[in-house]
Amino acid sequence: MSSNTAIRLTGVSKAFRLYAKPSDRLIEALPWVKPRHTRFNALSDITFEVKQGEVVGIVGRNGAGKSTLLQIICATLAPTQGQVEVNGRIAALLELGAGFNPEFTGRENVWMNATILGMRASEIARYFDQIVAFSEIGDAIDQPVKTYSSGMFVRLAFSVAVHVSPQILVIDEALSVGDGAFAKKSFDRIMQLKAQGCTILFCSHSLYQIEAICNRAIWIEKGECKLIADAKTVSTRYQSFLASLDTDKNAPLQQKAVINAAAAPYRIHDVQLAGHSKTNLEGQPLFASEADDWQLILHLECAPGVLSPTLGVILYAASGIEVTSFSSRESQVQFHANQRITLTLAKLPLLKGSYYVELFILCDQGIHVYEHLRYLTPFEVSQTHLELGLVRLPRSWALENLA
Amino acid sequence: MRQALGLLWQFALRDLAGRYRGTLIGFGWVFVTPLLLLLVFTFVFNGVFNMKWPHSDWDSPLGFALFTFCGLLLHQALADTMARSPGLILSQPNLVTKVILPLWVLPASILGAIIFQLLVGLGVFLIVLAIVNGVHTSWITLPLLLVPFSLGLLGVALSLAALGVYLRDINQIIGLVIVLLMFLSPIFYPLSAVPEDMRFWLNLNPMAALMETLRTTLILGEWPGARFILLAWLLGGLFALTGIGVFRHLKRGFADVL
Repeated sequence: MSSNTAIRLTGVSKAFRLYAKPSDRLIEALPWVKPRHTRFNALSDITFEVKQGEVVGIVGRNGAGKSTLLQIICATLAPTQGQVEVNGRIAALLELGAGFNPEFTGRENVWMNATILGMRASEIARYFDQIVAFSEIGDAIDQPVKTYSSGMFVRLAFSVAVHVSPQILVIDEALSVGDGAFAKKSFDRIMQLKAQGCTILFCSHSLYQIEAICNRAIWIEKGECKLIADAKTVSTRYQSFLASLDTDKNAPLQQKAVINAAAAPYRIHDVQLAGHSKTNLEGQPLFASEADDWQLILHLECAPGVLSPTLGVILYAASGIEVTSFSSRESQVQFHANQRITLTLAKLPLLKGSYYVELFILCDQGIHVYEHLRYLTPFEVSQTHLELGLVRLPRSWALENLA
Repeated sequence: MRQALGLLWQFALRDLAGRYRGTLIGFGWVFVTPLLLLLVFTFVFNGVFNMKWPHSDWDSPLGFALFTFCGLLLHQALADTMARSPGLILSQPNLVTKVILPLWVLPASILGAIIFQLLVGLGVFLIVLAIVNGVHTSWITLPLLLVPFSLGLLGVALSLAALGVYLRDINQIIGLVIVLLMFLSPIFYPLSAVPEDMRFWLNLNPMAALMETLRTTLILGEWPGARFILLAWLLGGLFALTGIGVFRHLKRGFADVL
């Protein structure tokens, strides 16, 4: 292993044996009996390397094998096949406060937990005050942990873990601890460890955190390593994968459902999007936020002699939230006969994520619904910065020096 | 290893502290529990059943109490070990699957706490004995008897802790075994009071010879035989090695079933 490698996995697989009864495991340990378990492959053939000082994120859905992978790296689980090499003192935050005993005081638990995490008595004595100060527990340190609020509990546990000064820190979903202020502090502490050259491996469902902290990321899906690349690429591809799952789930809706269409004097067809420069993995249009002009194009047929209908467009985020809507009536647009209609959002002000559109044709008063087209034209938006949310609003900052 | 010893210390402390946490007399229970037990047994066997130890100068209730106490201390240590080991790892799955920990520390640490209690009990016993009966030089052989006993207990603790993870039935049956052992060991009676043909079977229990020897060594001031001590060490070592072997072999599967 080269000297600057912190973690190296070579062809690591883990098959869990599922036993109906724990005693089956014991009977199986006898040499002559045949297997009494069903196998479940949690990880198959994972190979990657983490350099010292690197921060690597792990993404994947629940049950994909992330936690198993971290447990194998921490050696609480043995791999079924393959090799794990770890270079340096490893601190595992697989579950905050895993070694805590609720009957004992915070002080006693700090001692216990720090010893479990590999600190020596002299080190614990030296860092004890810092640990307590960081956790903001105050005088409650001498109260039994069972009297703590869940926030206090995780704060104390987190505080112990980050004071161990590990060379390798393995974190499972533990970054956003406590209230906003403490979450910030814990985040800062992790960044500080990162600056000190600590190798960090963590898994999180927050792609924002992954992108913000990690150099690289690993995407695990069904126990297989689907992608290892820079954090941004992994995050984007993983997100569009999640969005595609979402659409699977809504499959009945996806079939461009037409409601109330019978005998309507209006018809919409050939709805499509334009203005994008790329498509994503699922073949959906991929718009660059604030760069591409987003265009919704459709054909509208009106029976002769009827009043101009009202066209309504609702823009949804993949989660089902209405982002905004557009009504032709509000814009005082009139339609006649056979027309091609283009709705343009110049320099699309949406932020990264997946979206879709629903269309309504209503009477001229905008009240009676003739036609409702659901789940049209799913598309994705990518962005170059880290701002959060759905839309980018025009903003201005004003600075004034105060006397 | 250094970390493991630190852990051992922490866990043992935590175990002792936890046992008496929140109780009114705290550590006092270390002394009170065996004394109360002794009182009850003395009342029942000496007072009600009028049993006697076969040494004429030890005919008083106090004499009966001291004879009984000696065997009872050893049995108490074994009983504690047997009662607590099977559920030890089972009840703390987090320590197996969530943190990196040399797991043998768990049974070893409760054993540490149990041996501490045994030593306190023996201390009380020896002080009373010194006041009533004076000090015997044969007492210096006490460590030679206690170390193999502790090794034996370690073997029991490791084996039961490991097996308990897989066979949850152990927890159910162990209470019965402890009571059985209490009456089948020469605690309330000397081995010599047992009918000739039964004695062989009772002697199969290693505790029997140890209890007898401890009594004669501490109370009567007789020196334990060299052959007995050698045998005790061999047996203790065998128990410990078996326990270590079983534990090492079985711990690989812990995470699979927890």
